[in-house]
Amino acid sequence: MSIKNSILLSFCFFSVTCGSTFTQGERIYTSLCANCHMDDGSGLNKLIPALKGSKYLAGKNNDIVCIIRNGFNSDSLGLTMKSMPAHQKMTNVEMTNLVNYLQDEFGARDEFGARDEMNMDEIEIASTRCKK
Amino acid sequence: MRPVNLMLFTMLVFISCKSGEDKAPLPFLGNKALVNGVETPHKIRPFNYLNQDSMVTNNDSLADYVYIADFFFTSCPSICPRVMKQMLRLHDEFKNEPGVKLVSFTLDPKRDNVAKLALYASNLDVKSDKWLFLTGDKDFTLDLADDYFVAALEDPTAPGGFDHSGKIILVDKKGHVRSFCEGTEPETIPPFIKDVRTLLNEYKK
Ligand code: HEC
Repeated sequence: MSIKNSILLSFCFFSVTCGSTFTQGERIYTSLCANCHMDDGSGLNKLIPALKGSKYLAGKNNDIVCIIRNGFNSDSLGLTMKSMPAHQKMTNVEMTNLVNYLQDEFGARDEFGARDEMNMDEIEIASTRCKK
Repeated sequence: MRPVNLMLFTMLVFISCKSGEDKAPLPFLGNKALVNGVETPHKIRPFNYLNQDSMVTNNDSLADYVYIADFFFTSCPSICPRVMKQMLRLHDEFKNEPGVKLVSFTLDPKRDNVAKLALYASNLDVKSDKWLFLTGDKDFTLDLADDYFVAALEDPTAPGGFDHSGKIILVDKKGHVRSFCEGTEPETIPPFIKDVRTLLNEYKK
């Protein structure tokens, strides 16, 4: 193995183990989401859904972008008190980092332990689609 | 063993036994007041509220119970869900302990009427014979919070319109505050659970 390769390899290893890829996503989650969905994504019984196992985090899903951007109220009759606030001011960079953090932390993984990731372009397209 | 070592050893045994027994009674928190010339511990003022079943709930109806209290409102977007999560943990811990109740006062009675509280309780999956959600006069509640050492005030700039701390308070059968923990700090809950048990033991003697 060349020196260059081993340096590259150890760098990769480092970035994975340190979780540095998701720093911004984690920071956004902690400050904007964790009060409701909890640090471990467990939610609060039927008042706030758990993010672990959420259908919106099972693979690539454009809806997740709209839910975060526009807020979410699945109950049009207002019979439950569930209501998720909108986050209109979030930039696409922040949205990308947040969505990928959610996928990594709470999302479904395939049989090889891999998870889906969304790139900036996909986030931008999803974002434009759910503009109100 | 040298005498000094022996002494140290016995001291160590003595100290560890003492902390192991942990029979120290819980303190009475707050400033003492003089009532008819007698010093009495700080006490929660008498109150009168409706619970999620529209049943009157006051200090008399709670007199047979040790209770765990907090202040919240259902539309609170900031710390409330975190605090509720810990209240739920306490609820599960004392679910089968008939001498313990949980009491959550809403700071926002205008929006949190009886129907809203009933819905909230049912979404939390808890029953009114264990966990009371109380609604009453707003200004009285803001003052009452003081008695529980909870800072609560109406503030249009705060998320949801009320600023308040996430304290969870333990009250004995006579309305004295005996312990508290921070609902926003999950690690403060286990010692608090121990305090609730210590208080329950006071009544078993
Ligand atoms: C004020 C509390 C609150 C905050 C803050 C909040 N949420 Fe939510 N969230 C909810 C509630 C309540 C629902 C359920 C809404 C419904 O079903 O009508 C929800 C639903 C969701 C869902 C759909 C879950 C499912 O499986 O149905 C996702 C994903 C989600 N939130 C992500 C987030 C993210 C990411 C953030 C931070 C940017 C966030 N939420 C901030 C309360 C909140």
